[in-house]
Amino acid sequence: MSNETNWLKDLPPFQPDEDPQRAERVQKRVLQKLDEPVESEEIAMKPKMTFHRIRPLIFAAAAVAVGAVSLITANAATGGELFSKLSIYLNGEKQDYDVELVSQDDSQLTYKIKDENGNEYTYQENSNSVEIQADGDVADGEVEVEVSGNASDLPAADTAE
Amino acid sequence: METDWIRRLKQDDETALCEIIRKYTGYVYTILRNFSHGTLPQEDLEELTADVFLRLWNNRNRLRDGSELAPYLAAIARNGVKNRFRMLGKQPPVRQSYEDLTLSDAKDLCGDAEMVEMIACLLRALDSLCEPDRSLMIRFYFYGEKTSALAKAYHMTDAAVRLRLHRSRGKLRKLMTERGFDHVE
Repeated sequence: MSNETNWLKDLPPFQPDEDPQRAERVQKRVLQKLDEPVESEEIAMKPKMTFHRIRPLIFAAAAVAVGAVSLITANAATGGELFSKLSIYLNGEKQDYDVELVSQDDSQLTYKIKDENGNEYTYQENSNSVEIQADGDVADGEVEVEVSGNASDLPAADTAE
Repeated sequence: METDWIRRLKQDDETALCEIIRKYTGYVYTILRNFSHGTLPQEDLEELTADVFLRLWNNRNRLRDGSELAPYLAAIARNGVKNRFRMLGKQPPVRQSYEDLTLSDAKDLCGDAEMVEMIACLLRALDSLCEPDRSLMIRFYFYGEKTSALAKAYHMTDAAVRLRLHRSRGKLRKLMTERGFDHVE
């Protein structure tokens, strides 16, 4: 450990769950697994769900695979700012949505989005990332996410920050 | 001692792994418990704990000499919770983590060299924060502590904790961006 980060040692989690017997059980389990053939480290996913991190802020661009359900994650979309309009660009085609803030807790904001066909989307954002989960096919191509509006357009909700 | 552990791990010394397990099981288990908000049973948490150490072992040759095990294990643990909830088709109860601070689009943490470098960079950036802001950031992002618990421990209101976290995030983003871990607003 470098000197400049020695403070980390003095900062254990609150209420650490120390149990020597647990450590023994964990060790036994690990050693057993070490004797098993090594499996590939694929990230477990929900079936038929694609997960992409895209590098955007207000605008996001990424390739999205075909899928019955798509989950798009955009990093740092709004930095925690509230918004009332959402636009998604699929293959250059812009679709505008009104959003409704449905919940706000310590960790994230959740918006409900409804399109003109009655399909519902959930848009979740913590201060640094955004996830959109949508039912329906998403074609290969570019996706851009744009948000606009301001908190005054939204239903009343306590602001976290 | 940690440098020695890393050296021994790289020499395929399983006794080093056992020593690490004995020292860090409580730490890893606590982080898993916090990030799962108590929604996973003990059996699952212990399985995830074991998986964290297995992943450490499987990536031992990527560890950099002198790097810290604790934040590395914390990162793997947090990612393990996230993956477990994905397997269950659910959203993880706590989704912020310190890799979000970098605003990097690095792939999910798999113990690669980029993650090790990112953690080292983040620790240096955190070092630039004043107290109690640094401790709040560590406890919130590294350990998954609730803001209500932080407020109680640091004799602040919940809103004050969130405000400090918000400001510190901004500072860290700027520092991390300057050090090459973009993204930029």
